[in-house]
Amino acid sequence: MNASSTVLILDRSAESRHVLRTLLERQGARAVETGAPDEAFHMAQVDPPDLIIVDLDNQPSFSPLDSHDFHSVLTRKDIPILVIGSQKQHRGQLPGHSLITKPYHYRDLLRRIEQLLDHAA
Amino acid sequence: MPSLFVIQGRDQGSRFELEEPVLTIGRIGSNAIQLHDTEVSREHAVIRYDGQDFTLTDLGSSNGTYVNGNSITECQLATGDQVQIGRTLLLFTGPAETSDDLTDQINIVSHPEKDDGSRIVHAMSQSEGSDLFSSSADLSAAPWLARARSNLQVMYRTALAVSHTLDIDRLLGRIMDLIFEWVEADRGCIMLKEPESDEFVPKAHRQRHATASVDRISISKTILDYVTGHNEGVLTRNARDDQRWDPTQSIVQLGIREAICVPMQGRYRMVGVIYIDTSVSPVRAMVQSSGACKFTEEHLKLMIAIGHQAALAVEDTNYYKAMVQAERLAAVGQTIASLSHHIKNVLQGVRGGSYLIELGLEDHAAALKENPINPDKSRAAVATIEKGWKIVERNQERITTLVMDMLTFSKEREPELAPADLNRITREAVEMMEAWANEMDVTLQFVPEASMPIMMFDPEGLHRAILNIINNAIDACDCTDDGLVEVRTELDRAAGLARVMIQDNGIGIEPDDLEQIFKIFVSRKGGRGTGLGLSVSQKIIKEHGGQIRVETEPGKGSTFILELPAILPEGDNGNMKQDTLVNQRFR
Repeated sequence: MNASSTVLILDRSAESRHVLRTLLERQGARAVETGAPDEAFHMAQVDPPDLIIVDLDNQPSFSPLDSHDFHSVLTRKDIPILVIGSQKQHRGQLPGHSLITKPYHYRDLLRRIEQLLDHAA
Repeated sequence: MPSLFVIQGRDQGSRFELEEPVLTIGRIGSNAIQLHDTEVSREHAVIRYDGQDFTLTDLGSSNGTYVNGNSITECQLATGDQVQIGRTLLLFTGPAETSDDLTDQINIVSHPEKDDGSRIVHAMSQSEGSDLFSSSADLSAAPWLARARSNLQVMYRTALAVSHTLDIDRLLGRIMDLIFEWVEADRGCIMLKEPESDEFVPKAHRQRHATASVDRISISKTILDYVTGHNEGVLTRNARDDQRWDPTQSIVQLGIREAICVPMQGRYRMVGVIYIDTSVSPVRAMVQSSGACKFTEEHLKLMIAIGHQAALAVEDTNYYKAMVQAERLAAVGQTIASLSHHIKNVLQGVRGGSYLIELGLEDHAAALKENPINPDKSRAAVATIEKGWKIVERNQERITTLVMDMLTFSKEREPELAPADLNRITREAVEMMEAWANEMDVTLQFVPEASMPIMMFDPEGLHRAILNIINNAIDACDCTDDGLVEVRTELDRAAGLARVMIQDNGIGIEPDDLEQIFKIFVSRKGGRGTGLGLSVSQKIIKEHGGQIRVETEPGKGSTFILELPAILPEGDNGNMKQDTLVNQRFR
């Protein structure tokens, strides 16, 4: 994993963010996190990360409109998104991005993150 | 929401909401509406919405598409239409129709003298209404009127019978009785068409003269076929004379003199037939002249009307049953979905925690291998392990809570009342939640009632009820700076009530959500909430004969008040003044 990579984590569960952040930092990446979609959107525009991880499963307030904005802006900036959630949510909200379904193993998640970062680099 | 609701077929009970402008219906999974029915084509039909109307179009299916029994290639749907695709019958419900507001035109006034001056002159109950037809007028003077009145009464009573029962078998029996009271039939039966096989199954049977052996009613297939095929009622009188019957057919062999067979035509389809006959013995047949017939055309007309009434009732009842079944299935599905969602999140937490422990252990082993041992690395590794362990522990707690809540909710139980100290129970719950409050950066305070007597509660249940609400209060402060949760206990001697009040300065509850909060599996906490907590608390408090009251203001916070009847232990007057006690209660 590229040491200078920045990963933005959007997840309503503080615990999940905490785990993922610890894991990413242990690998030498920089992790920024938030539980609010609008804040994540703002953060992504101000300081574009190399990858965004969105947990749709814990986001009841994540409306299709939000995701549409998300999708269009981020795609323009060429930022990959890794979606955590179910096949159905994925199809409906953030199509065209990588998906990992719950429950997942963190080892697999980290591998996917690594691939996406390598690919983007 | 416009929808198609499956009222018959393998998918019975499924509701498809018509959200998209174009929805395909078919057997394979790529369709928006998938029907598990072998007689449905792979891509059978399509339903389009142009913003105003829904149009159903057949896509050249092999078995065709039917709306209200008619084959269609394209059809605009109206609410209440029944769509038949293969063996599946669906009920269409369109967008809610806006009806004109009539409140301007109709007023309910409380002072009649001002507007109208009407007075009640005569009042009549529902049951009295049927006496209307048994008039005191001279019947012999107007036989036609008498007959008409009698017919009307039969219809009226049929309508009453239909409106009073949801049990089809009983309803059909009642209708058969009514028919027998009114017409001189010897035998009769009602047969319903099985939707799956299209076969007729007898449901109600009557015989006027009880003979030693019950007569088997043999119904001529010819008659049955005619009635179902033409959807017409028939009156048969000495079948030999009737041009419509082929004399070689079964009617002749059965020797029926007079019979009436009418279809039970409902709103959407024929649900069955009603059949009555009089079997005349050969001797009587010779004696009787052809004019002395028991059944007339008028009987036939009325039977057709009765058949229609009965069919409507059968359809309604079937529809009602499908709805109940659908609700039940939906409830089970929702239960499983909610629980698995929650368990999945707990599992994910456990995996996260254990992975941290695993990495910590690896790091620790690596640190120990270094020569000399690297103390910084070793410390960092232990810190990771601790982090991981905390997460695992917390998720253990979550699964425990879930299981306890499920148990509490599933049991119909009496609370196990025991002498208990409400202050102590509440304090224990507060203490248990302190770690969580710390983590959420919320201040948690407890202000106990100064003199709380020992009272009769179910300590375990109450603990759970209070715990869940404190948990919610802390969660409600998630996005609040200076989150504060204050828990107080109070004894209202005058009202004979003990209260636990849990006040937070969190997000509050929107008025629209307020009705929902006690519903099971409703949660606004995303992945964190099971939607069980508040339902469980309410159940426990209700079992104690108490109630939960909520005062809330969106953006400002909420107060949940758990109110319990204060019951003193038997034979123990505590330190309360004797005169405040009535029947060991404060009231």
